Amino acid sequence: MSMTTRAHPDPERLAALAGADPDALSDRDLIAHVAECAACDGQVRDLEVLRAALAELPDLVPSRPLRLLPPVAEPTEPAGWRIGLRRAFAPLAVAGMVLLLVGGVGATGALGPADAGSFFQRIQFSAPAAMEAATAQPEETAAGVGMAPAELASPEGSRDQTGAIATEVPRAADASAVPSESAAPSESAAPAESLAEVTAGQDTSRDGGLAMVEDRAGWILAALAGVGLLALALVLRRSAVRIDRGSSGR
Amino acid sequence: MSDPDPSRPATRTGPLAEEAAVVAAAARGDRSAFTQLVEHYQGACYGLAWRLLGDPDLAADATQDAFIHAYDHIRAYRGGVFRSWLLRITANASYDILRRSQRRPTTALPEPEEGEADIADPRAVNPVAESARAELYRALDAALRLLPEDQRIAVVLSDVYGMDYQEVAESIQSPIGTVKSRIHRGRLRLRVLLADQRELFEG
Repeated sequence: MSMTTRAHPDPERLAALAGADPDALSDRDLIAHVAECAACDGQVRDLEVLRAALAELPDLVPSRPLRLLPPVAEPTEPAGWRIGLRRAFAPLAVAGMVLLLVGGVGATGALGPADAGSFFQRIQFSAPAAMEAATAQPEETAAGVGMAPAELASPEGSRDQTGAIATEVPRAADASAVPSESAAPSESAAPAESLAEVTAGQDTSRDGGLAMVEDRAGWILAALAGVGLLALALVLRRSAVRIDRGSSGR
Repeated sequence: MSDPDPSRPATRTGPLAEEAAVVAAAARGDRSAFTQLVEHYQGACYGLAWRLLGDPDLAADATQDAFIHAYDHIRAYRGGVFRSWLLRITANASYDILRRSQRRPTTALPEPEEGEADIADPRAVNPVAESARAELYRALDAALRLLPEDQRIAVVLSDVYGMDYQEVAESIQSPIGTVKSRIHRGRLRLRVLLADQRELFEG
């Protein structure tokens, strides 16, 4: 038995030789040993047969059919103006709603420092004469003239001056408009004065109504602008949806 | 672990007729051309994935992933044997799945009792039921599954699918020296595992 036979090479070197590894093929000692050693040669042959069999292993039938999914419509990059249409909807709608809300609330008078004034403006606008008389009556009462006997006898009038003003206003207005029989001669000038005041009051109240409208014009305009913005946002939205449908249906 | 249908052993898939034209059409975005490639090579890719992963479902997933990757990157294909390109992608996809499954270990199945081994024992093949060649293939696949994972992957890529050391090293992201060692040790172990079935190799 030769020296090469006794000193068997590392089995991994034999496996490398069986796999036609370039390093193993260039190893002369290894080649020489295998040529002389029947055991190592047999091992290399076994490994070559094994390798050949492995290389023949067939392909396998998949456990489930593999198919490409039907083509999915790839999302096409929308044009810049279409992106703009979509993106404009939300801010426009929000701005419109805010304007509508603020303008609407402001126009009804619930906002702003003009709340108290608006109450009187409303009264003047609806009953200017009554308001005029009502404001004139306490002064006359205090002077002790012009008060109808019924009014003087009225317990409510003596008890609650403010309440009397509120309840007796129509009658006082009638009394000033039609000269009363019980009225003193000095009071005959009062109807004329009252008439002038009423006329003036009416003018003032009309001015007040206009002033109210002017005061609220800003709020009203804001509300209208809000409605406009909302409408614009909806139009943009519908346009964007229509365009999207059209492009996806292509 | 269930085996692929052994009654329909496929042969090795050769190149597709007019493959270069089909690949070029697929690279231009022709879906039907790519579908043709999928249908032609799915057995080869699935076979590789199954031998690497040892599980039919994972193998199908890996094959699907590989085809999706191939579809996305077919424009980067620079010629050469298309089958090899596809198999490299499949090997990478399988290896990715293998690593993911190792990061998220699932509950181990109970060890099969003696005589009820779920994994086919290479010595337990039935020579009567199958033809000699099918028997050999079954024995080889069973023996491959008994190899340690690192050796199995290296041997499958190298000896079953003919990748060179460099390709195997890139697929499993290991140094070439490590790859060589795994392949050689894997071959030696396979020889031992199949030592009692020499007659299968003689046919």
